[in-house]
Order: sequence, then C-alpha cells, then structure tokens
Amino acid sequence: MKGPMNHQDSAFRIPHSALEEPPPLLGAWRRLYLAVIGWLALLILLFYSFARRFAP
Amino acid sequence: MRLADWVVLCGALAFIVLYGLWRGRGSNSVSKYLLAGRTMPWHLMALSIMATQASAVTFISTTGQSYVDGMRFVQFYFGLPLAMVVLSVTAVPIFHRANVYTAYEYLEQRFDAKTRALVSAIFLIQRGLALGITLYAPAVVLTVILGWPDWVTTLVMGGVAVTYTTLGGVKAIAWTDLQQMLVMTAGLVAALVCAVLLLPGHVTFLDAVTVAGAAGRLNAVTFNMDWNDRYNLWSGLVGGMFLALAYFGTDQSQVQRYLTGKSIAQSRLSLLFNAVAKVPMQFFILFIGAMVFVFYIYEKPPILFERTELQRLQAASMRAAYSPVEQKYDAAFERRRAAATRLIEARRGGDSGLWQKGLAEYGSAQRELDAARRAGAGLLEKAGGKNVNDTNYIFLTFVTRYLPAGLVGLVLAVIFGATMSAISAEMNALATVSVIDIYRRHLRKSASDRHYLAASRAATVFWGCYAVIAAHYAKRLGSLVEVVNILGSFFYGGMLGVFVLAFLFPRVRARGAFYGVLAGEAVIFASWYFTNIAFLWYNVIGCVVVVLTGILVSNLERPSPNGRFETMA
Repeated sequence: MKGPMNHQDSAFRIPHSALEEPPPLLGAWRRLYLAVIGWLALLILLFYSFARRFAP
Repeated sequence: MRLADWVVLCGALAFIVLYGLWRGRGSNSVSKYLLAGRTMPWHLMALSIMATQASAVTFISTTGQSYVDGMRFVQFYFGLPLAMVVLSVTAVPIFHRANVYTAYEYLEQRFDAKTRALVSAIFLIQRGLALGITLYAPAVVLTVILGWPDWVTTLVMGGVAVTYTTLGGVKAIAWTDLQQMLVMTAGLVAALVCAVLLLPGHVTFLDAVTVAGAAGRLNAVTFNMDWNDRYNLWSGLVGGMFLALAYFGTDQSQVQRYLTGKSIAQSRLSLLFNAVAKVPMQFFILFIGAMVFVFYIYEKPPILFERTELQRLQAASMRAAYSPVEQKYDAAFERRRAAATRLIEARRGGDSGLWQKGLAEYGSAQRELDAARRAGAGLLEKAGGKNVNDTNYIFLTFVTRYLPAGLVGLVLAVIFGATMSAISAEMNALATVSVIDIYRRHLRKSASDRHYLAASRAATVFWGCYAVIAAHYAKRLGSLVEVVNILGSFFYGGMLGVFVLAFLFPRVRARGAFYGVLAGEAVIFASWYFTNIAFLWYNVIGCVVVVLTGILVSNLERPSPNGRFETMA
C-alpha cells in the first residue's frame, strides 16, 4: 500500500496525453461540455414554457 | 396477476439473470471481478450508471411523488448535468491516473490512511442503510399484489441478487443493467400510453394535460427562493449539483461503474451521456405520475392506496367511524370530476369565466378529497399508532388494476429487475470497499489474488444478508425516493468536501482533511436537528464546512523545516 503523497505529486495534475484524447463529437472536450450545459439550459427553458402554458 | 403476467415476469427475470451470469463468466481475478479488467466501453458504463441510479424507487416513488406534489421534483435533477461536466474534468482523469479500485484508496495516496478509513466507514454506513431501502421497494410490490409478508419478499429478492452478483461480479452487473434499461424504457412508454388510453373517450390527451396543469401537477419549474422548500430551481441547480457531485464523484457504487472504463475518454462519455439523458427521463417518469393523477380524476381512487391499510379501515370494527369519512370522500370525488369536465369545456370554448369558476370548484373539491384521505389515515393512526403513507402504492395500484394482461408482468419485471440491478451494484461496491479499503489495508495486507477474490465474494454475501435485515426496518420511512436522497445528504456533503480538498487544494494536508470531515458531518447533523433547512442544502453546507475547516487546520499547522506542511504521524 502506498503512503501519503507529497502534494506536489498529487493526482490533481492531469497528464497531457489524457487531456489530448479527443471526444468522438465536436472535436474538443471543452466544446462537448458547453454543449451539455447548453442542453440543460434548453431543457429548463422548455420545461418552464410547458409549466407556464398549462399553469392554472 | 394472470397467467400471461406470470409468464412475462418469470421469463424476463430468468433471462436477465441468466444472461448476466453468462456475460459475467471468467471473472477469476480481483481486477476482473471488481473492475471488469478495465475493459468496458462507454455505452455499457453509461447504461450501468443510469440503471444503478434508477432502481425500483424511481418507478414506484417518483410517480407517486408527481401524483401528490406535481412535477417539481424534476428540478432535483437540474444540477446533475453540471456535476457530470465537473467530474469529467476532475474526478475521472484523477481516478484513472491513480489506478485505484475505490475512490477512497485515492484518499490515502493524497492524504493518509486515517482519512481513507474515515471516509470508507462513512460510505459503508450510508450506502449500507440505503441498500435496505432499495431492497424494500420491490417488497412493496409483492405485498400489494400477492400479499406476501415483507420479510419473505426481501429474502427472495436479496437471495437472487446476491447469487448473480457473487458469481458474476461487476461484469455481470453491467450486462444485466443493459437489459434493464431496455426493458425499463419499454415499460415506461407502455405505462404512459396505457394511462392516456384508459382515460374516458371524451377526454383527449390535450384535455388531460390541461386538467393536470389546472390541478398544479405540471409545476416543473418554480423560481421561488426558499431555504425550506425542497424542490425549486435554485435548490435543484446548486443543491442538486452538490448531491450529484457527491453521488457520482465519491459514492463507490457509481465511481466503480466508470472505473471499469477502457480509457479516460470512455469514462467521460459515459458520464456525459447520463448528463444528457437523465433529466428528460425523470421528466417523462414524473409526467406518467401526472397522467395517472388525471386518470384517477375520472376513475375513483381508493381512499388509501395501500390495500392492507384500506382493508383495516373497512373492517367492521372501524365501520362506524369510517362511514362518514367515506361519504365525504365519495361526494368530493364526484364534485372534482364535474369540475374537471367544466375546465375542459371552458378550455374548448375559450370561456375564461367558466374556467375561473371551474378552477375554484376544482380547488374546493380537491381540498375536501385530501381532507377525507387525511381523515381516513388519521383513523388508522389513532387505532394503530403508526403513520400511514401510501405514496409508494399509487403507481402500482394503477398498474395492477388497470393495465392489460402481460403488460402488468412486464412492468413488474422492470421493477424487480431494476431493483436487483441497483442492489447488486451497491452490494458490489460495499464488498469492494470492505475488502480493498478495510480488509486488505488493515487486516490482511499480503495474501494471494485468489484469497482476495474469495473475500470479495464473501463480502458480497455478507452485505446481501445485511440488506435483507435493513430492509425490514425501511417500511415506515415515507416516500422512498425522498428517504434515499435525504439519507445521502446527511453524508454526501462531508464526503464531497474531502474530495474537493484533495482535487483542488494542494496545500491542505491530512490533518485538515480528517478534521474537516468530522466538522462537516457535525454541522450537517446540527442543521438537521436544529433547523428546517431543506435537505438538498446539507450537501452544500457540509462540503463548504469541510473545505473551510481543512484549509484552516492546515494553515494552523507549523510548516516543517523543509517548508512543507507536516503530515499526520
């Protein structure tokens, strides 16, 4: 079992090779993340419109 | 239950279990048994993640929640996509790089063994308690339909799940989950179609949606900022995000799903698929509950959905007290149905005056109906001295009474299978933490791979037995889906906080992390005991307290001669 790590070596530093592995869509992870957040915003807007349309 | 239902139910369950066992063959090492040898593709992990989260509670309780409280529960999931993005950036590459079996194993690499043991213990307590609730859900089904005692049903369901989890490991779980999600989708669509088709001929789908909206059941987004309100946009986005961060980032039952991935990219994609699919799926399930509510506007619902309690209420000994309540209930039901019809006529005719009149009549009738239901429950509580909560019986009562032959078996197969799938993942995670973080770390540090494989299987059996016993005590806890989430919120804030410290605060050391977790948990329990703050906020409060305490304690430590902070002895 490994003991405590020096914080300088801790795993919050992500290896470059892992970061550079592209997603199958949109070409870059950042764009994919933005698309997911955009999807959430769209859903909230649609749900709100739906609730408002049929509110008593 | 008709013959066709039994055939579909038994056939579907047998296929799912046998298929899982077949796919799980060859799990003959600890790595293969607990992490599938890290060979899983993203789509399998994604469906496994969703299936693990969507247990029978999702079907039984979420639909009931929508029936009694409307669709605003969907807001609880708004933070989930944000959490998936954050975890894809942070936890996924960190855990992959650390090459760990459990999330808590990483905590020892980053901090120390004490912090790892503390967080592992918190996980075992929290997930162990939740496991009992997850297993109890199908017992609700069998109690309503077959009248079997709870302890028999939990024993049978637990036994089947333990068998294939013990033999097939994480691979069997993942492949079983795939089947579950396919069957679950089919069952959901079938339930919604039936709820709409079973409405009276003069009520169209648009009419049904109109009535559901007028009844306040389509309140999917609410903006009011109230700390004591469980579900609104803000608690969903912030509190829900923290809960999802904790659940998917620190709960081994989820972390273990994406640790089986071939690569960082595959694991990320599995989380992002969940981010895209989960909110619409929950909306759909809640919408089914709203349509069931409309169905029961035209078809008189029982005053209590739990059959055994209803029979007690109708017994001769309570007849005198119950009769006037029943008469009020019947009268209120007829008034509510007439008001709903008036609302539909008003919508079709564009008559705003009639609409307002219908709304007022509807509201009055609904209040009378609710009062009669409460009075019925009150009679039982007075006689039996226990709380009556039938939210979890609403959907199942609808399914078993009104769905056609074969379809009842299919929906029940979905519920049973989903539950077994969820508890198998939970048992697998509990066994993994027990063996990797406790047994191998503290009790038997150097033994053969075969020994640890046997220990993992034995731990799975142990947690299965524990689940059956815990399920016995889970039956009086109200809405099951809320209980699971409330229970998680007691512990997730503290767990999340320590991982935030590990990921984002490199100067924080072991002592700060350890005391941070203790302080976070103390504040969460104090918030619960002394305030009325809604449970979703516990995740935020706990996490913030852990982070602040961790930073404070680390800053108070004297720097060592080489300029670094001292570590714990």
